[in-house]
Amino acid sequence: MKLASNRPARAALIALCGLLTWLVVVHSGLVGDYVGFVVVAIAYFAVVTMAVSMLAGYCGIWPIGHTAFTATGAYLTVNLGLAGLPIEAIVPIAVVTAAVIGYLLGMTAGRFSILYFGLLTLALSLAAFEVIGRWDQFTGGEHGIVVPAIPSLLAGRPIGLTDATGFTLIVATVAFMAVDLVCRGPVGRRWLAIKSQRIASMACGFVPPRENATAFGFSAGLAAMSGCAMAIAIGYLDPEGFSLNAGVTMLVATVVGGTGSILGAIFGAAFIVGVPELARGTSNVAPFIYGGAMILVLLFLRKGVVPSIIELLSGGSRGARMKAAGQGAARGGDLAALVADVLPNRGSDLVIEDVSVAFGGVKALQNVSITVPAGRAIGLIGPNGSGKTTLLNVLSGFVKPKSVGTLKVGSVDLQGLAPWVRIEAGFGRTFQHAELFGELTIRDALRVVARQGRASRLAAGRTLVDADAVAERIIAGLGLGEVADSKPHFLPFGIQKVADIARALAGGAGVLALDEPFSGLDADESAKLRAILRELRQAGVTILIIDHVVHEIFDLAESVYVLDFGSVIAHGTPAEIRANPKVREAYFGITETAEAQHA
Amino acid sequence: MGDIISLIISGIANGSAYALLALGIVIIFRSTDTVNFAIGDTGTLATFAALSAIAAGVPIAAAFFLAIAVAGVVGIAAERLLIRPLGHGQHLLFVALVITIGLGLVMQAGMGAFWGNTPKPFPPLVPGWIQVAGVAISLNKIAATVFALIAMGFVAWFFGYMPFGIAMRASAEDPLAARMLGLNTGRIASIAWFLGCGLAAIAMFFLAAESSLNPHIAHSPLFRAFAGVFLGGLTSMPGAVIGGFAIGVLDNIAGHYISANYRDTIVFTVIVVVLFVRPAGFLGSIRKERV
Amino acid sequence: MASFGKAASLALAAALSIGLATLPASAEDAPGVTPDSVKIGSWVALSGPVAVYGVPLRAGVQSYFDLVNDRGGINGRKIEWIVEDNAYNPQQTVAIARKLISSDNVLALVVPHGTGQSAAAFPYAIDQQKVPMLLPYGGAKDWYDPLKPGLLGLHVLYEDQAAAIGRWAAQDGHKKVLVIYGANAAFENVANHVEPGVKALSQDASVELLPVKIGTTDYGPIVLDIMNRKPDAIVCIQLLQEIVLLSKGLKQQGADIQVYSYAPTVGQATIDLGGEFVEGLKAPSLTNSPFSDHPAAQEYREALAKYAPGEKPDFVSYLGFGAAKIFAEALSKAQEPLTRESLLGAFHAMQGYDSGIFPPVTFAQERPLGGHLLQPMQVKDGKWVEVGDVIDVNQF
Repeated sequence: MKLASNRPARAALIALCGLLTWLVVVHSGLVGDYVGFVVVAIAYFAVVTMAVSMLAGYCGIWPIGHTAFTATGAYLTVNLGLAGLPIEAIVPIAVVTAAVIGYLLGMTAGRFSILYFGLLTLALSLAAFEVIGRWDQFTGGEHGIVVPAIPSLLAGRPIGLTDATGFTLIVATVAFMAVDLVCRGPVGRRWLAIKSQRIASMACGFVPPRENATAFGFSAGLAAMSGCAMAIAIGYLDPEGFSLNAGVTMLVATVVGGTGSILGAIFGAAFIVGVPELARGTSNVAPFIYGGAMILVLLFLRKGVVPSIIELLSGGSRGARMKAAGQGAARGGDLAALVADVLPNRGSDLVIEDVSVAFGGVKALQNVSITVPAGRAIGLIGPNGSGKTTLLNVLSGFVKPKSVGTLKVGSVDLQGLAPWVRIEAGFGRTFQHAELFGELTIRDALRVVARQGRASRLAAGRTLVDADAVAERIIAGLGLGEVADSKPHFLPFGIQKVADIARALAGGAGVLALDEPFSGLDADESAKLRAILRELRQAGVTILIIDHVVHEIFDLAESVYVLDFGSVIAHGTPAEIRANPKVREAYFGITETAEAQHA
Repeated sequence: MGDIISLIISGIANGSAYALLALGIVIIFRSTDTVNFAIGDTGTLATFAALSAIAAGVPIAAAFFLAIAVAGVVGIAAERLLIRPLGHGQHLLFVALVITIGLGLVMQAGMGAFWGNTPKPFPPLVPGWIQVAGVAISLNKIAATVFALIAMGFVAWFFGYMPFGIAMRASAEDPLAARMLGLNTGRIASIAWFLGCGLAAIAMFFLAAESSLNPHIAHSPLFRAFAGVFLGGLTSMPGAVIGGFAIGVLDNIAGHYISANYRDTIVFTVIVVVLFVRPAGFLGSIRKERV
Repeated sequence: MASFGKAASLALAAALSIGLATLPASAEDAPGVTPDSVKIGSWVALSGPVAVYGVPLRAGVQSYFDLVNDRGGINGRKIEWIVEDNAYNPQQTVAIARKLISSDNVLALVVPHGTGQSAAAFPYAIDQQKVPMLLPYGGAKDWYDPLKPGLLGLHVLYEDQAAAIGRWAAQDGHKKVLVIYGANAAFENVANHVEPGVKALSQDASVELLPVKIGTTDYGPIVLDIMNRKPDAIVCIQLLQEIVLLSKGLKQQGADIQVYSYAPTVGQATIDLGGEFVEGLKAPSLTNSPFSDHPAAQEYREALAKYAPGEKPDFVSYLGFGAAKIFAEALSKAQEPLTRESLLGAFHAMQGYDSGIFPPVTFAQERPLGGHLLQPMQVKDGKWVEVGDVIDVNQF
């Protein structure tokens, strides 16, 4: 397990494997020419499969036509080689070119939905295929083009077919090291966070369109590396090698091998190279096997062959362990000190004035005004559909209000700010269903979110700046130590809700909006949460709490707003609200049943 | 000038196939969050079935309805066996999409193994041709456009006036509400896949009669249908129809006046520009990812 | 965990490679040659859209080799023709070439399929390993310029076909020729060779070019455009389906213009798809008709029925059958001991060999293209029939 977190050691291991493979293939005398080529083919397919698989695994994006980027790498190798550039310059140029194209396309698709990446790459691949077939000077057109010997500074001579093994293995090794470094680091964790909770990640300061585009650019660069290797290894380029069929084959490799895994990519590449080899002589078998394997793996081994095997070998005991955890994690240290150490923006107030929201013709909010003074806790109650969550979504920037008077955190006007900028202003929130990042452990999630708040902490002169230290401090402070290394879906709901608050704190939220924190908790869990929220309030965190569990709100909040049909119908201290006949009529009849349901 | 008129007329005729496929894609996507890449191959498969039926003596008109039924049933089966077991959730969008790609591969290989890869002559529903504005247009093409319009009319009526259709539309907008209203989501999915794949069968039936039938004929029209979906928006049924027709005309005009060599590239460029200008397409709505 | 898996996969790869690399090579005099067998290899597109050509091609070649083997082989050697499916993919073809040459140890590559695909294998197969590549199905002019030792073609190249069609049209008295081609570089290159052919016979004739986008299903507007140009002959360098559609469009619009096409159009599929619309279509064939009464054609039909019962007689399998026959002829004449050099030597000594299928072929060191004759064909009463004498593409 240790190796999993030690990135330099992993990089060294990858390099070692690359070196060993090279020794076996080239210098052991054990491997014939044909088998050597099969190894090389697996290597360059593994790189492009990794490019696809990394996007699928870390971002949930399945590119259908990555062949366009492979082609970019391959044809640049030929043409820059003809122009006399050394291979050491060609590969970086190819990678950067593909990455820039990928990033720009990613910005186009990423603005809407990840699904569009798939469709856009499909279109890109068809267009690229057409251009390749026609752009004679650059690609040799439909007849294809011979790859010349390419000068190499390191080899001190031009390299060609006979150097394919060494070159391809170097390319594959570098590509895998890059993938490992990027994906296992904070960047990869950010991608995973966005993949598992796109909306919640925005509230934590992540920018999904930009991150998706970056990942897409990175992946395109990898695909281009594969193209460079392909050009050298095959010695001839033909448009057919970059057709949509070839792109679909990459998908097959990704699905079969398993997403986001280097070993999976190698396995998948071996699969697509191996099937035609094994189906030798029999016609039309490969498409059946490809299509069938894709369907069966997705239906029965959703994660792919390699990750499923790894999980079977290593992960079987984990679930049981986590159940044992969850019980009673002791909290260490007091929250006041924690808040003082890690929150850059304390003591801001939250001012909402005249917010109106309409969905179609339905008025979801009408001129709602709520003020939460700095360091206080204010409650917001109301029946289902009264607009509570809508108001929270306006605060988060997920819903665009029809009109707004004021929307401010401290001196910062939230109006017009993108959702991901609001955490910088100190506004954080939690979610009704916690919406934790499913593919990250609690610790990893807190670390990656804490990195977002680093600059603000530094600017505010907090004693703790380092993200990892902040994460540890929050873990200790909220008593998450025993569960910090597990993924959220193994954890009891009560712990998930605490982790959700921890996440907002890690982002640097001094103003906290809580969406039904008590719903779905048992008495024990509620008591723990109550204690945490009290301490936070005492430590000076500004809290807006929405819940159906009214007695908790009355207990915690010093004043309460009541929302019904999108309007504030009452506002006062808990005692006043309890006594308010309008509220009793509009709300309490329902509350009792709602409470009964939750219990 | 006669050129442009004939280009537009034939563009609309071609576009009817794209529009049908695009409509099918949107209907299936709205109901089950699945972008069905196998929709064209399903239509092709059904057309092959019709071809076998015709060879066995079934009248062409009956074979036409047979094709629709076969495609619909294959669609229902695909949804039941491959898509439904996946469960629900936004992160499954791509898993479902990739499964349909796999299904398409298997279908194409299967058709190749069973019926062969050689193009097969396919009889038109209505043989013969007429002169329109000086251009000979096959009656098959006219029939294709007419049937496309009828099918679209039926779809519009179904979703606009039939209680179950209205409910389906509502459920696409709010699945939770649909469940609360007690709608049977499984039945909704089946009907959507039947409709979507049936529309694809109509498109492929007429395309095959126009030239010939082989296991790979769905490839290029499907891409154009997707372009139409981009134009109109992934969630809008009228958008898909208009988008499909627009791509038919655009493709013809661009192929004639700009370059016949870069058809796909031109279509692709249009898609990118549309996404830049209007990410949701011209009639689609930005679908909020659910909180 | 990951390290373990990586190491394991590496070990597996190593074990695999050792296992494969140490396969015993049998006692061979030359690559692939034993006293009672000779091993040759090929790649053919057996899957994907191009399998339409690949499957009958293989059936034809295999039928001839089966026939020969049943008669006792050539000089006592049975011919073992190893075919791999390249799915029309160049990368896969390179892998296949490596396997055939370094692992199967074939004597030569015989009737490999696909122009770009076979070219992809040149750097390895011909340049590096010096393995003869014989009678490929496909090819282009630049393959033979400069000459590649060991690369011998049988086909009259498409460029040469185009020129020959041009002369044919001029011979038929046409003065205004319109060349319609599928809009891509390969078709355009071929289409450009029509004009020199026409001009060679008739200087005052005019030749116009008209590209049509590939995949066009609607020929209405194009036919109108054609009629505005008032050609008296059309040369079609397009995919089969589109030639059929164009013919249909012309007939529907009431135009009566002679249409010419090139060799790939000559096949039963044209008639199946085109029916009455392709009546009168002219195209040169690389072979005579597989349906004719020539003894070779009869032998072919019998062999195909016996060895490839699923395959209907047609031009492509006939062509494969004929190519195999030409290869077997060279093999029988090759000097012992049989080597790559002696096989090539036998080819280079081949003078006007008449297979009864192809017009007579002649190879020489400086003449890598054996075929130079085309058989003019025309669709008459729903059948391809031979019309007139063979055209020699080398005689201008």
